Amino acid sequence: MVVNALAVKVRWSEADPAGIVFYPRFFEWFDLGTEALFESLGLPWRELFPAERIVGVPIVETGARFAAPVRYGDEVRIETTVSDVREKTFRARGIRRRPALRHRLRGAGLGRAAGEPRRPAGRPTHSGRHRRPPQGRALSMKPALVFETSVRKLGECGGHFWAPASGEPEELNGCQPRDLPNRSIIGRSHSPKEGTGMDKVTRRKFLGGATLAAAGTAMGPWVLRAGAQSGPIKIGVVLPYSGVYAVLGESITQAMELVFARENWTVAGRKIELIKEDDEMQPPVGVRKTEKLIDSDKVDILTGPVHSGILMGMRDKVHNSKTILIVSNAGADAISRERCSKWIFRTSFSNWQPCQPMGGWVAKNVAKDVFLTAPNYQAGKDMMNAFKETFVPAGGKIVAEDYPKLGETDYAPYLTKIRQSGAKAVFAFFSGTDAVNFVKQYTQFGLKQNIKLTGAGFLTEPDVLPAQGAAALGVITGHFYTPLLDNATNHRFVKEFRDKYFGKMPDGFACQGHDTAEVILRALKAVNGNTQDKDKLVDAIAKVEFDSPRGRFKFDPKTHNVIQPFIYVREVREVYGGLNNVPIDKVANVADPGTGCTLPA
Amino acid sequence: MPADLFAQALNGLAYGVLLFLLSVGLTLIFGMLDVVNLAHGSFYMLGAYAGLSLIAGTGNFWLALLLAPLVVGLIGALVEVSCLRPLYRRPPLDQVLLTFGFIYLFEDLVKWIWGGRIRSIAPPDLFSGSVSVWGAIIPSYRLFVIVFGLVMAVMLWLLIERTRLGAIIRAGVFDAEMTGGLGINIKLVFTTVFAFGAALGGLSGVIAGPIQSAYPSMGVAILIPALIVVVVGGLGSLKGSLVGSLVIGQAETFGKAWLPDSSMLIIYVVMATVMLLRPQGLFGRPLK
Repeated sequence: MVVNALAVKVRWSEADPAGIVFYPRFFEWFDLGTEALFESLGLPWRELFPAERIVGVPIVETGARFAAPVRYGDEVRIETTVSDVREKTFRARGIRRRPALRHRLRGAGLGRAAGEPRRPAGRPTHSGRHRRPPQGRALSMKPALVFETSVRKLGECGGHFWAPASGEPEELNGCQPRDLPNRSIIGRSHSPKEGTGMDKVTRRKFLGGATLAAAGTAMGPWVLRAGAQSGPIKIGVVLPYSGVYAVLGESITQAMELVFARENWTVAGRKIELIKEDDEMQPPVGVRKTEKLIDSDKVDILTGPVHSGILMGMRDKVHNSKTILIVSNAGADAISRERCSKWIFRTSFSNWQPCQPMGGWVAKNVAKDVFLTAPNYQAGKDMMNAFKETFVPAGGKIVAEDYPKLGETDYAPYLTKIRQSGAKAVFAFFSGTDAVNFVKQYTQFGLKQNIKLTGAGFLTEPDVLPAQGAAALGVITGHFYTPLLDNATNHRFVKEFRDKYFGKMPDGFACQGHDTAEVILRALKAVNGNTQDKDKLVDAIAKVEFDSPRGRFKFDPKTHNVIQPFIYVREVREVYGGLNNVPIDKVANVADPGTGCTLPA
Repeated sequence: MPADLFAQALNGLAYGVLLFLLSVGLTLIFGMLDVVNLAHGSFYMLGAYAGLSLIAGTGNFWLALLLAPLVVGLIGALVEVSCLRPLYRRPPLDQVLLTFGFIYLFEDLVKWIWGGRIRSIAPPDLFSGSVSVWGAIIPSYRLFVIVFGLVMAVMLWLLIERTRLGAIIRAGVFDAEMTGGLGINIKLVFTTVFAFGAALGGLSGVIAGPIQSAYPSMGVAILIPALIVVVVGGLGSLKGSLVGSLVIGQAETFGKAWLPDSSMLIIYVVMATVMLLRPQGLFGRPLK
C-alpha cells in the first residue's frame, strides 16, 4: 500500500473570524494530498499528464462530514492512499488527526491494470481542452483509482464520513455513522448555528472530542487526449432556421442530410451526428451557439453559417480553438483574404466570386450606367465592390449606390430613387425574403421595362423564384450553379432532392450543403474516421476533389476557398414548366484573389 | 425635384396607411384592455396567410379581404377568452409574457401549416399595374391601399364616435370598472374589442400581402414600427394612431431616401422627441 503524508499548518487566512477553519479548505487539502501522493511516487502530474496524454483528472464525486472544527494554528497531517480501483474512477482517502492529519491512500495501480501497458492509443490533439471521456479500448488500459480522505482527531471515536459508492457507509474506529444515508456524501458546515440536528451532532462531537471531519473524493475517469475512435462523429451546424434567411438554412441542411443519408449516416465505421443550432441571423446568437458547440458539445467539425457577420464573429473562436470549420454559405471575402485560417474551409463562395465576373459582362452586354443596391451589411458591400472591380475598368459608370437595411419590407423610397437616377440598369444583391420583396416591388413600380435588373445569383434562386413569379422574368444574375446544369452528378442530385423534399427544386444553397457533406465524408474516409489528428484531417480536406453538381470541386490551396468551376450568367425564363435560371454565358475557374492570405496561418 | 418629393410623399403615405391599419388594432386593445398585445404582429401574419389560402381557394382577392379578418378575429376571441381573461388580475408583465409566447406559437403554427418558404400574394387584377399621378409613378395597388386605409379611418371614427358600441368602447377605454358598474357586460366588450383589434391586424396582413409577401417572421418584423406608432400617437387613441402612422410613414420613407444609412434611426429620433415633449403621445390621455 502506498501512503503519502503531508503536514499542513492551519493559516490565519484559512480560518474564519472565530478561528475555525472554513469548510472548503478541507477539500483543498484533500486535493493537495492526492497530488502530493503522485509526486512522492516520482510521478508528478506536470510530467505524468503530458507523458501519458492525460488532460486531467476530474472529480466526479466528493463529500465530507464535518464533526468538529479545526482551528487556526493547528497542525494537520494529510495521509493519502488509494482505497479503491475501478474501471473508471479511483478514490482518495485521507485521515487527519490532531496534531497530525492523516490522509490515507489505499489500493495500488496508479492507473495501471496488471500487466497491461499504460500508453493509450492515438496521439495527443491540441492542448488545453478536455476531450471526450475515454471509450472502449483506452478505458481498459486506464483503470481508475478511488481515493478516500477522512479528517479526524487522534485517538477519538468519530462518525464515519465517506460512503463508498459500492455499498454501506464504512465505519472507522468503531464509530457509528450518523445521519449518513447510503451512497451519499454529505458536506456540512462546521458552524453550530446551522440547524438543530447539526448543532446536536456537532456539540456532541465537540465534547467527546470526536472525529473532526471526513471526506471522500472519487476521481476519474482519466481524461485522455487520445480516446478510442468509436463514438459518433459530431458535426456542429450553425445556420439560420428562423428570420429573413431561414429558407437558406433549410436548403443547406436538407442537402447535407440527403448526402449523409446516402451513406446511411456512417463513415469509416463511425456514426455521423448533426447538432443543429439556430443562429437567428444575429451575430451575437451565432457566436454564442458556436461557443456552445465547440466548448460543450465538443464537435469534431463545424459548418455554417449563412450570415457573413456571424462568420466574422465566429472566426477567432474557431481559429484559436483549432476547430475545423467548413463554411457552407457566408461569403465574407476577408475569410479568404487577411482573415483566412488553416482551420477554415469554404465550399460555398466568397462574395467576390459571383459578382466580379458580372461587372465586365454587364458593362459589355447590358448597360454602362448602373445603379448598385444591396443590403447594408458585409456581404452586400463585398459584392458591390467586386462588381465595380471589372465594371469600372470596362467603361461602366456607377450612377448611385443604396444600401437598405437587411430585412427591409418596403423598397418604395429606393425604387423611386432608382427611377429618377437615370440609370440604365441595376445591379443588386438581395437574398431570401429581401429578394422576393425587392424583385416584386421593382416590377410593381414599373421599373423593369426601362431599367434592366441584374444581380448576384441569390436574387433569383429557386428558394425565392416561386414567390417572385412573373416579376422575376428576364432578371440576369451571376451564380456558380443552376439546377439546369447538364452533368451526371447534378441530374442525380436534382432527382433525389426533389423526390425527398416534395418536388422542391434544389438551389445554390442546396448545392453548397451537398458539397459540404461530400467534403466531410471524403475527408473522413481519407483519414479512416480519425478526427483526433486535426492536422491530418485538415490536409485531407484540402486534398478533397470530386464531381459536384456545379462541376469539378476543389479547394484553392492558397485560401481554402472553393475554386468555382464556372460562374454562369443566367437569365430567368419560363422553361421546363416553370421559372428557371437558364445559363446564357459563363466564365471558367473563378478563384478568389486571396489578397493578404498566408496559409498556413 | 418637386416630382421627387411628391413621389416619396406618396410612398410614405402608402406605408403610413399600412401602419395605421396595423396599429389601430393594437392601440384599441391597449386602450381598452390595458394589455400590450405583442402577438398583434402575429395576427397580421395570420391575416396574410389566411388571405393567401382564401385567395387560393376562392380565387377572389376581395372575398379574402372580407373573410380573412373574420378568421383572425375568431382566433383573437379564442385567445382572449381562453388565455388572456384569467390574467387580467395579474401584473401587466404576465400578460406581456403570454402574448410574447403567442408570437412563437403562431409562427410555428404557420410554419407547420404553410411551410417556412416565402409566399407571395398577387394583387387583384384591377390593381396589378402602376399609374402616374402628377408625374410620380406608383403601383396602382398602393394607391388603392391609401384610399382604402383612409376610408377605414373614417369608418372607424364613425364607429367609435357615433355608435352605441363606440360609446361603450370609449367608456371602457376611459374607465373599464365604472363602465362595468353601469350594467354593461364588460367581459363581452373586452372579448369583442380584442377580436375586433385582431381582425384589424388580420385585415392589414391581407392588405400588406401583395406588397410585402407572406413569411413566418413578418409579424415580428412589423411589430416594432407598430409599437412606435402607438407610442407616438398616444395609447388608446384612434386619432393618435392615424397621425402617428402618417408621421412615422413619412419619417421612415424620407429617411430611407435621404439618409439611407440612418433610416432606422430616424423613427426612433421621432419617437424620442415625442416622448420628451409629450410623454403621453400626441393624442394620448395625460398620464395619471
